[in-house]
Formats: sequence, C-alpha cells, structure tokens
Amino acid sequence: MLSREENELLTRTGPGTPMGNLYRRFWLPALLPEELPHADSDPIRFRILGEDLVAFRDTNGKVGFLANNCPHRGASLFFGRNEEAGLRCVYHGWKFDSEGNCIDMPNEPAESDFKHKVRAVAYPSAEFGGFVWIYMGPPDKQPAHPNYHWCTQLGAERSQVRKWMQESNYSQGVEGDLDSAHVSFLHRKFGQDERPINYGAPRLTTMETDFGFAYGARRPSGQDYFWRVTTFVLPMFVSIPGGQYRGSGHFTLPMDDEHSWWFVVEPPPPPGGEWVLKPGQLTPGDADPALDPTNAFIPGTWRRVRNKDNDYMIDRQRQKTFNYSGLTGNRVEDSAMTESMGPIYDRTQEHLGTTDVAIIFWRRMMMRMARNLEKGIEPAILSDPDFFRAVPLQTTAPEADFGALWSTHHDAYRREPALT
Amino acid sequence: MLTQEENELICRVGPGTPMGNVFREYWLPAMLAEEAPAPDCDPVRILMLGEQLIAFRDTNGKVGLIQNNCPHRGASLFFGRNEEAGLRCVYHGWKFDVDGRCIDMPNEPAESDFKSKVKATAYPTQERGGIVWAYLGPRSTPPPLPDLEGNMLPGAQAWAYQQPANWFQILEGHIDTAHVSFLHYGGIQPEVVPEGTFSEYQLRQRSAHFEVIDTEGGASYAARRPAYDGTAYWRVAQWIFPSFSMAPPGVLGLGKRNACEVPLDDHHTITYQMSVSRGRPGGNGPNASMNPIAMQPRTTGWHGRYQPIVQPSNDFLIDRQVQRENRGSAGFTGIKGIAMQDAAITSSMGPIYDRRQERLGTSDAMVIRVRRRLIAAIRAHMQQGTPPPGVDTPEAYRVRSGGALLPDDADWVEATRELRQAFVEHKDLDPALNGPL
Repeated sequence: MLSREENELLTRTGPGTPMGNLYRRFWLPALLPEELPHADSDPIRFRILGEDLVAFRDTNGKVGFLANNCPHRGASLFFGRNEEAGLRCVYHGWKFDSEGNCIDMPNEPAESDFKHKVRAVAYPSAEFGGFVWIYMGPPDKQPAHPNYHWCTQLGAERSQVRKWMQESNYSQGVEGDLDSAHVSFLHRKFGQDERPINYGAPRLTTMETDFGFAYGARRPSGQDYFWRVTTFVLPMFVSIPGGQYRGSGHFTLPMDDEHSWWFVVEPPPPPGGEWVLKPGQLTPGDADPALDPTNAFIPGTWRRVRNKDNDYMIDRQRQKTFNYSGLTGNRVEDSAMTESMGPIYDRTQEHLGTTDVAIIFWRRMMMRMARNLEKGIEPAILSDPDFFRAVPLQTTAPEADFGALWSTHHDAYRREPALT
Repeated sequence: MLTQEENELICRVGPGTPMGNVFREYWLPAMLAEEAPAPDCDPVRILMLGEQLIAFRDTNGKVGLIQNNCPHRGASLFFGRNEEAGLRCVYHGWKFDVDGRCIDMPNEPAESDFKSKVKATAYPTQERGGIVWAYLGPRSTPPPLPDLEGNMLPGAQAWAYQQPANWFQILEGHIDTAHVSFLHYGGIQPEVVPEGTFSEYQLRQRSAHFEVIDTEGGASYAARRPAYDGTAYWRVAQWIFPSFSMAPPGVLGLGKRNACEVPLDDHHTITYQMSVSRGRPGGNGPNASMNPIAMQPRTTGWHGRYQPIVQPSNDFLIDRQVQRENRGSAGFTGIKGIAMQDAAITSSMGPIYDRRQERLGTSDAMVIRVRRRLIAAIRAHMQQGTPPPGVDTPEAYRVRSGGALLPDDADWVEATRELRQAFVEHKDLDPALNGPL
C-alpha cells in the first residue's frame, strides 16, 4: 500500500516532477528506427514523459527531437518540411536543425539577427541496440550510452524491437513485469497444470545491485528448486528469464501519466540462429497477428485491436474451457489486468502479499532515488555504462539460497567481455 | 430557483457526498434480474452512485455486487472467472464470494492466513419482481425493502432505460404533471377523446390548480380541473424518498406502478419501472419482452446498459413535419413516445442543470416541495445523522397515484385517503373513466 503522496511521487513523470527528473537523467528508448526510415523522411509526432515532441531524420541521417510547438507562434512542427538538414515550420518558414538551432528565418529582414536569439527545445538522440534513444535531461548531466546486455552483443543493431501503447500509468506495467506470481494464473492454459511455473505461491527474494535489483522466485521442483531470477536495470528495463536468447526484456516508459510505451527487445540471434519474433508479433508469448488479425494494431496507431474499449474481446466460453483468462496472447492478458486498474491506480486501496515483495522493493527504490536526486544525489549507475550489464536466470538447481545462486551467476556473467 | 450550493447538495451522489450518503441509506435497484440470467453467467459492470461494481450470479443463484478493483492490486474483477460459488480474479487467482469474503488465495503459501484478513467491498442484494435490489449503506443489518406494489404483486415485472442527465432532473419530470398537457398531449384536441373522461378534462383546461401535501414517506400533490355536473377532476401523484415516483395516468385506486431513478453517476441515470403486466416488446436485455423502449445493442461498458436508440446524439429522431402538423401524441414535439419526449427535455437541460437560471411558477409547487424536503433531509442526515424518511417505514411506500372525480367542494386529501392506499382492491372502480390518455 502507498500513501496518496507516495502514489503521486511514483506515478507523475511530467516536466519538473521528482520522478520525471529522475527518468530524465537516463538515455531512454524513444522510437523504432523504422519510424524514421531514411534521410528527410516524414516527421513524426510522439509523446514521452508528458512532452509532445516531433522527431525527424535530417538530410545527413541524424535524428532530431524538437518540441512540438514552433518557438515563433506555436504551430506544430509536425507539419514541417524536412529538407536540407533541418525541419522548416510551414507557417512562416522558420527552420531548425536537429540541435534546435534556428538556421533560417525568412520572414524577418535579412539584416535581422533574431534567428540567433531563438532556439527550439531539442533533445539529443542516439541510435544503438536497435532503438532510437533520447536524452531529455540537463545537458551537463548527459551520461554515456548504457551497456545493456544486448547492446554489447554482436549485431546488436539488428536486435528485434517492438513497441505498443499501454493505456495506463507506466508503473502498472512495470509492476506486472516484476510479478512472477501472476504467470501461474493469468497466462495459464488448461492441461499444463503440472509445470513447475504453475506452482502459484513462489517464494520471492530481492537483492539490490549496482544496476538496480534482482529478484528470485523459487518454486519446488522435485528434490530441487525451480528458480526464475528477474533483473530490473535502471531506469525501467525488466528482463524476465526464460527467453530464447539471454537478455530480452521490456522497457515500460511513461508517455504521459495515463499512458505508457512498452518497448520490447529480443537480442539478435547468434550466427545461424533463428529470429525469435514473427513479423508483427509483440513478444514470444504473444499471439501471431498473421494467424489472427485481432492481435494486430489498429492501422496508423500503436493501439491494438484488442483494447479496453472492447474488453480485449474476451471470450467467456474460452475462459471456461481453454485458458484461465478467456483472452488471447500474454500481452493482451497483461494489458487487461494493468489497464483495468484505471489510468492511475489508487494504491491506498491495495492489499499486498508475500508474492508482491519485488513490487514493493521497486517502489521503495525508485522513490528513494527520486528523493535523493532532489537532494543532489545522482543515480550511481550513471557513473559507469557497464553497470547496466545484467542478465536474468532460469534454472533448476539444488541451491536454496538466492544470494548464493545470484552471485555465482552474476559474477560469471560480468567476467564475460563485451563483444562490441 | 436553487442556490449553487443547494443544487450541488441535491445533484451530487458519489461516495462521501451528502446526497450520496442519503441514497445509500435505502435499498435501490441495481440491475434487472435478466441482466444476470443464470448461475455462473458472465459478470456485469454496474455503475451506481458513482461506484464501479461488478455483479455476478454465483453457482447457487445468489447475486453478488462487488468492488470493481480486486483488493490485491486493483485489476478489474470484470475479467474474473465466475465459478464454484465465487468470482475469481484472473490476475493471481484470488476468489471472492458474494459477501466479499476472500475464499481462495492460491498465490500465497498454504500456511498463510492473509486471505482471512482481506475483504472485498460487497453490497447485500435481494431479488424481487424482476429487480436486483442493493443496499450500499452503512448498516450491518440493512433496513427492510420498501413496500412497492408494482414490485411485489403477483406478476410484477420491471424494465429500465438510461438517460444522460442528472437523476434529479429526471425525477422532477416525473413529479411535474403540468407538462403532460403540452409535451405529451399538446397535439391532441379534446374533441378526439370521449366525453366525460379524465382525458377530456385534462385537454379542455390544460392549466390546473395545484395543491401539495407532505406524506409519511415524501409528498403528494393533486391538480384540479373542472369536470361536469358539480364535480372536479383531481389528478393525484406521489413522490417517496429518495427517488421513487408514481406517474398518475389511470384511475386512482387501480394504478399499480412504481418508478425509481437510480444515478449511475452525476450525469447518467437509469429509470426502473415496476408494474404488473404493462410491458411491450423492444428491450435489449436477455429477456427483452418487458421493455417498451427500443434499445441499442447492449455493451459491457459502464454506460452500456439500457441505452435507448432514441438519444440526444440523434435529436431523439425529431420529425419536424409531424411537429408542424401538430396532430396526435407525437404532434407537439415531433418525438415519438412519452418516455422519449421526457428524455429529450430532461437531457436538453444539460447533464446537471444550473437551477440559478430557472423561473418557477405555480404549477411547479410539487417540484419546490420535493426540493425542500430533500434538502432538509440531507442536512439532518449530514448534521445529526437522522435517518431520512422511509428508510425504516416500508409501509410509507404503500401509496398510489391516479385521477378521481370529486364533488366541487370536496377536500381531495380526505376524499382520496383510501384510494391512495396501495394493496387495496377496488372492484367497483371503472378503468374506462380515465379515457385513452
């Protein structure tokens, strides 16, 4: 349970909010490269951390992020002309480069130097690991590019990435990813009840680390234990064990306080290996839109056909006979739960149990970091890009102690060299 | 006219509001029984007094009305599994019975007693005459259900329709008999109805003299119009706390019909009509036979229940040519059907009408009285905790509406005392006296 004040602290991420300031210290995934497919391609609009931005890939291939409203009189730069290394507002012809410099102001007299006094709000961009990234924080605090696991793998730029829009506060999505217990229920298909994952009351242990935290969910498996260790890498990358290639995971990023972006990354396959995701498929556990078009997006949007307005097309007969939820696909099931809490869930109402310890840990950690930043204490992870390196673990082992299991695994991983 | 503060006092009904607290002292219709037709059927979203609730009929046939957000982490129980005498959240398998008890918590260790500490908000329900009644109030032992004959007599049935307006606007329409001569009958001339019927008297003199009295459970009023041979036609109607009304058509002593306005939220209201055999086809419930209003296809949304096809968004399908010709029951408005004529007017005031703007006349005496009674009851409840009228006196609901012919000099209150009593048979009364309207 959170107090009302804590809930506000955790969920509000617009400009000037403590949590918003914390997230603005990090490089954040903003777009898929295919959204800006080539030099001088169409500008796109998007919202992140409550800010409306326009992105464009300039003539030199560099991605620019500008505030939506032209600094002149506020017309949207979305309608702008992306040409000759800049985005030109179609209202009066003001033109900005990817860094926000006003490089042309044709409606002013030639002798005017007004254009040197005007700047558009612009944020630095970067492209690596299959994403277009944005940094929205103070220029003097801009960190090095983070070495997330998949970013250090050969062919990282070919990683499979996906995104979609979630109609709830980002925190509800993060918490769903940190909640191993729901897998035994929400995602259950009948006839698979003997699998260890369907033991519904796992024992959870958390551990703070230099990258964020890890938590282990221990379920009995014969004489041994079935361990699922999930890693949370700051600021919001959750890597769930059991993927085909190590280090796949999700970012759940605030779009605004009542919507979020989910970004999925599947590391590139090793030479000769198979791609994990089919075209249009959101995650490995998700339904294939080629087989059922209701699992695709509404054309022109990042909203899925199965959404809260149609109850995710729940099939009550299927719920009686086929699977627990009556829904189709893990991501639809997750959305139905996390969105049905409401746009910003009132956590004064909840009742957390023993399987919610990772969620509690995450909240405490994020709120502590946001409060620390207000006191001038910067996130320690930003001091070394290698702190971002971590991978989850799924194993059956006799080890009962999470600390021992984790340090053996993580120490071995950190000794592996980065490949890029 | 009401001050802004008085208007807010009456119109706002969400949790913690003064009128919301008054409403919660009473049993209110939550849904029609047909909406949860069979044991273990699909859960239903119910919005009521601004609260999001999930209704389900359990394996034993009992209807549960439970908070929307699972007490664990807030996922909606709408997606839940209605099985084996309880509703189970599909997120982590927590299961609740109709009383809100957590009866299974499979994601906690078997030795945990956490489930005995968790309770979902669940409201008591009772079924009667096709309606699922709910008590959203504070008492551990709820008061008795109101004695409403339209809901209790053999053959009692119910139907419902939703309007996009505050509950009190709709109630005011139901206690305003003066509009009937215009909105509903303005296109009907007295010559087309039989002589010597209530219909004729009403049309010969569209205005009326109004008198209002307080009753045990609310207020009653009568509209006097001249009739023949030293008699007068009195049209008597009722309002009972908090939102029950009885429209007067028919002969006083014979009518057995009740209505109740139930706020979904401050801007949407469902009217429940309860009567013995007055329905016609056209509803949208699983058992649509009762509903006389054609409905849009039902949706599972919070506002998806009992939405008439005729709506503000289509201007209630007003036919201007019919309105120009001004003939027949739709002539005055160009809108078909009495309920939809009412709906057009009450919703056209806006979701919550600003009553500082209005100008009330003598025919609004009942509206004024009901507001005063409500405001007094709200304040007494708010300040002294006084139970509002009717809560503990179910017999206060044993009243009837209708028309009566009385001698010119009769006191209508005395003369109609027995006729205004429900559950009394008057075999000598002739229903034809009413006429066709």
